[in-house]
Amino acid sequence: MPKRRQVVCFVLCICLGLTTGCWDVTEPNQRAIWVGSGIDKAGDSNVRISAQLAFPAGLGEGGGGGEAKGTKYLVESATGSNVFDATENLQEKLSRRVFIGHRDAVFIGEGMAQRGLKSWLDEFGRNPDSNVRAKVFLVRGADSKTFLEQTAGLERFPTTAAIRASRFSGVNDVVTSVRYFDNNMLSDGIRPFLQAITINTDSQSTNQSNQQPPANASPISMNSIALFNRNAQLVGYLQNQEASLAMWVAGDLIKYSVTEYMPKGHGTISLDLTHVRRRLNSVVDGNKIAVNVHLTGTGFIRENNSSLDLYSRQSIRQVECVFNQKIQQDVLRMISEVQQKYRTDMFGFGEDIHRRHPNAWNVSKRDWDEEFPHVKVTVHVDLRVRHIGNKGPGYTVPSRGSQN
Amino acid sequence: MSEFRHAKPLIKPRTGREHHEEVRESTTSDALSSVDLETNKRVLQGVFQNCSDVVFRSLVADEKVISVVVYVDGLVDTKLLDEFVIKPLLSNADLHGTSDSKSIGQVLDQLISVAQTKLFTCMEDVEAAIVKGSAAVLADGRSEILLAELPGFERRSVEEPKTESSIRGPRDGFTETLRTNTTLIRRKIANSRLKIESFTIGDLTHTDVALTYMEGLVVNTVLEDVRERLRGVTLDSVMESAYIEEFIQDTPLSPFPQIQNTERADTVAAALLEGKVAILVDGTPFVLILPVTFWNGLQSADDHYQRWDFVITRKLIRYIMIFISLAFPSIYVALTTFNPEMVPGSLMQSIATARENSPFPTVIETLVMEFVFEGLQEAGIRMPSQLGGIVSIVGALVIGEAAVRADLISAPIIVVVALTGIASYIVPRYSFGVPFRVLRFGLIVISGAFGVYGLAIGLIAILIHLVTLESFGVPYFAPVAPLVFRQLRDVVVRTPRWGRRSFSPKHRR
Repeated sequence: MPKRRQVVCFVLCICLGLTTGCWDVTEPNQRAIWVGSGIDKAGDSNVRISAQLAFPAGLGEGGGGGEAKGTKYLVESATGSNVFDATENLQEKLSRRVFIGHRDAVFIGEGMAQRGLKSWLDEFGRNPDSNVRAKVFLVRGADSKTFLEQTAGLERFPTTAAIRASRFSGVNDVVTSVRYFDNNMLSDGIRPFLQAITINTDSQSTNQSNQQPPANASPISMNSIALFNRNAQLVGYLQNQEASLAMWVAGDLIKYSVTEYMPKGHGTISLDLTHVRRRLNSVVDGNKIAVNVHLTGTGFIRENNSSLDLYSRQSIRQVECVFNQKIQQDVLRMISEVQQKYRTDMFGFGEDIHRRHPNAWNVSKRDWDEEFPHVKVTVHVDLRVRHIGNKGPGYTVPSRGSQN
Repeated sequence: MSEFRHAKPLIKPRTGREHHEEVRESTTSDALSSVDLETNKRVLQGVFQNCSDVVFRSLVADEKVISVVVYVDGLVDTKLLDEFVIKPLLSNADLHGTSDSKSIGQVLDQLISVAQTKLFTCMEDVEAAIVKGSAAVLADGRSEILLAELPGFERRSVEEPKTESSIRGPRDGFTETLRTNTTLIRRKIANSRLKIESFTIGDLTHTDVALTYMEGLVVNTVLEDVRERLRGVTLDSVMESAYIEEFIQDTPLSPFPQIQNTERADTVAAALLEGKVAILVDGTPFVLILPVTFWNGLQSADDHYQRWDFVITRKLIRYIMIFISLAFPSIYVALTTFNPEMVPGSLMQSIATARENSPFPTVIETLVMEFVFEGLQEAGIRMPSQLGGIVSIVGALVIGEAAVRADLISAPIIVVVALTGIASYIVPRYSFGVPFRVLRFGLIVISGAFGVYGLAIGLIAILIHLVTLESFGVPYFAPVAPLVFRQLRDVVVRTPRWGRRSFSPKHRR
């Protein structure tokens, strides 16, 4: 009767599983969906975690009444000696189990960033419950909690707004991940940077004066990056165009658009670059280090307000030339600002030396932060216009055009 | 064929055989027919006592009974009987009856102008032939009894099968008459290699069963196995081919059918040409095809009639939908209650919102809704067709709309159950869809208890079961599980016909 024994065994195994009383089921309405985290400093050594929790009844159309429509999320915060500790303290304030699997972004308050992030981001990669693809942003000039409490503009949550804004900022998606920041932080030859969010105070003030927020007031803008030193402490910001160029040199830009005045055509031309690349070439000569930055890109001309006739090859060459020169100047200025003012190698020049000249790197990696400002940087820009659109000239110069 | 599992019925069949044989002994016995007409008539009259539909027609000439015709009224075409049996007998009675030189019995064979006649001496055979629709002619001066086959009973005409419709392809479906069915097959395969062997199964019903195969294409071991199993069937009655299917399949306890049934003549013909065996049972349009594999069950006749590129996409959809019909509710339960991080964030928020006011746990909710859906389905099948609309109204409005409005059931469950329900009808053969519908409940329970882990265990268990199954010596999961790469052309895809090698040696390169 081996068959009967098998059956008995099987039934017993099933019972073993079913009768233990360990049922780790958690219904969706027993969970608090944690959308975004904020990290701020609390006291000298503690941390304050703010959680943006989705407010279930306020979402969607089913179930909830009209009154709850306004509140889409709830921000709750708690302090603790580290991130997990603070999270546990936060749990005590909530009626539902926190669920961090969908924590899509982590926001770091400026104060926290100035103190240094070296030991605070560990939980985001280590805790198996957490989302490894979480993005990390810095909130410029404010606490992260302030940011989390903002209205979200087009989105449900400020967190989503930030993630989406970053997606369309032309930056490679990888840059914003916690993991990328971590890797750069642990590496010798590159210093981490973060995309920084600025809270638009204008829209905030109009919000308070009027009861209803105007639809056109976007609460945040993502136009700067924050630079960190070796100890992952915030050293400064680069803004707007400088920020984009810096990421280009760092190799993290995938799209860039530039508008420039054309002296020949007396007007501006906008170039939308798509295949944006950079190439570094470091040369070590004794203890002198030189880095050549080669930037390339191809793009469309999206707008031509000059009189240049783009049907002619010659004018396209002229346009390319103007853009090349302009970007070269801008990049050189930006690099020297980073070198002299912030003294932190966010471009990864050190990594390039590491690869090309490993022996030299062994000597200079210990005090790379001191050497970086003295690196001689040359920049070559090589942009190509791929498409000019359907029209040649932007407008016809009247004196010549009338004769034809 | 030492392993002959099927022949042992699981439950000992309820037999009324002892009683049956008792009756027989008292009336006929295995007596041979005698030369005396009266004796024979008396024996048959005893057998057919209280059978008001059995007619004894005595033919009299010169005040002497020269012949008796016995038949079951309704089974025999009386017009033909009058024309070709009774009339010749009566008209010739004068010629031969008076002269003593020849009795009517001696010239019987020349008188009866019917295509199919048989001569029996055993009274039991005669009795059996009469109840099957032959007319028995008892003649004076002849011990053999002549049986003329003149079937004239009511039969359904050949129609399009209702359960297996196809867009393109032959429309003829089997009927309840065995002979019609064999004709349909023979018309598709005009070849002497098409063999139709006859069996009689059912101690009480004497049902005709035909074993059909293509000689030379069929695997002889399979054929021998089928014959042996058919002989091993001990049944009192056979109302449907399912009776036989249950008896002869390899693993009767498995939810997966190891024998295919079909109403389509073209499906059977195609199967025979693939070297399979078909079993036709009198009285039912459902013909058994064996051996079959899991993948045969997921094929439809259309697969071979539509364009091959289109069929490939259909197959893909079918396989995905079949997986949905098996596992979608349990995936939903496992993911939402155990591993919500595996659901995209915004989707999870939508689900959480919809579930906000639900009073029941997700597992219970899913089980209840699946139960209700199956109930609606069952009601829909059994309900008189005039009331059909009520089911849909009640089902759609009350359960779909009102339950969600009243926060009794969450809306995503309705979507899940509805999608699953639709998906379970994607299986082209009804009987192959059943296991998925049954196992679905088990999977919901196990994934409600153990989450994704339980779901994985459940699916693996099903897979293990499938690969161990066999249908008449053919592995059930073939050609995927014992991988036969060349045969995948009919499983994963359907390759165009010109790219294939033919069965027939004439076309073989």
